[in-house]
Amino acid sequence: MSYAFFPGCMIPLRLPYMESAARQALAALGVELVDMPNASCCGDPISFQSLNKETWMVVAARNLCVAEEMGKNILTLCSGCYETLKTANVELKRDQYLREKVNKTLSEVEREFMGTVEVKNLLEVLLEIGTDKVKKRLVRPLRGLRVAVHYGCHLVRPSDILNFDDPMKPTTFDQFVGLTGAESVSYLKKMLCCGAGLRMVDAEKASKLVDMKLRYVEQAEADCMAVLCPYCMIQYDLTQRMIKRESGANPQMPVLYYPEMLCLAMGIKPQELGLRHHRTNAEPVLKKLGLSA
Amino acid sequence: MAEKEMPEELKELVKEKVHFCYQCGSCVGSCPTARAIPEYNPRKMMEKLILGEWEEVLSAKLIWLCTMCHTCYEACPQGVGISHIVIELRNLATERGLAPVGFLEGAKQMAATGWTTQLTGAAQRSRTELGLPEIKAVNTEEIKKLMKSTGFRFAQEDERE
Repeated sequence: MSYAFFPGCMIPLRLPYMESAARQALAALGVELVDMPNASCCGDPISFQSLNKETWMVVAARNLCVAEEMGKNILTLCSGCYETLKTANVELKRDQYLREKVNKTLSEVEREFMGTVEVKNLLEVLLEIGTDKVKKRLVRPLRGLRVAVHYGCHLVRPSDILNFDDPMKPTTFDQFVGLTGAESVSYLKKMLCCGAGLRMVDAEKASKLVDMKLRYVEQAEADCMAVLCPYCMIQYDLTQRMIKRESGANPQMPVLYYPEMLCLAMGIKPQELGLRHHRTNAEPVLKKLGLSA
Repeated sequence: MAEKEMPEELKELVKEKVHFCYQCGSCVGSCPTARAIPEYNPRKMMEKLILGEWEEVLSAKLIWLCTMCHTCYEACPQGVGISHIVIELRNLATERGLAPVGFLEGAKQMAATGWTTQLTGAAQRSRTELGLPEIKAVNTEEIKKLMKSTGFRFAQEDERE
């Protein structure tokens, strides 16, 4: 299996430990990741699309053209990239008028959208590999670990375009957490947005949304959260320490990137992952799993 | 803004989409921003558009508070597609030089590097430590050309150039 690899901006430039875990997990599953020459930022579905939807669409289409030249389907790691690239791909495939307009602009940089590839998220790629095949590789199940799954909005919505799982009651991520031997716990407000899109204009209220969710996660007695998107990761992992509650206490909830869970369940040593680069402390999770150094 | 007439794009949008809103409030009930900031109310925003109070909606900071989670998009029984309406409103506001600095930062980065964020020193060090491949530069000439020909505007100041 081979994909045009689209890690986006946030993961390679800010959170490389996520890229490392994804590469290690996918390599162990026999997936080849081929770099996309000259691929840019997807075209950020929040900030960039908000300024000029037309530019956003054309930049996304240009990235799709790179994969088309490679003749490979795209694997996106970031859910923002997934939404942008998939939206552009779906709309350009079904709307002839839009496609002609976008191609006219792309001709200025000698590119043309053909509509020959698909855009996949990480869970879709794991489904393509097959859950049985993934499970066979998981030699060190994460038994006893209670995980609060956070889907992230752009993995499932808008559903008429993304067409991946239920937009308000999805189950795929929970099933994949279950596959590692860990338990996906139910908690209130599970589909509440991380608030990353609000950070650019109101950081304090963006943190308030983080705190809201963390309280429900704590109430469910989860050992950690699991995320897929780097923006959700920044919200829960990095900004968690900025939250000061009325009691004066700080929340201390470890946040894992799902491929890190896969790697641990595959028997990859914690030291080989970038867990030390998280801002929350993953040690309680490792301790519970009997993986502490 | 001293425009009297509602812009054509917006007229079209109200006629084709917003017009179907029957003010049930499913959008605001499911909205994360509304939980954190009660003044943010997508239902009222739709009402104002229907009533023709579009200038107030476009110039208010409120339209920039949506997290773009698309929960309202899914919750709306009338298929108004509110988060996508917000995108259109933000596009129109940007044309009038009303985009917040935080939104414009990423676009400046995009033109300069091809990415909307910067490679930090710490991230560079951890890439090396984790044995990850080096980041390759993007052909920004292509990006700049595409931004220019689609009429991308950074800020109001651009008009004077």
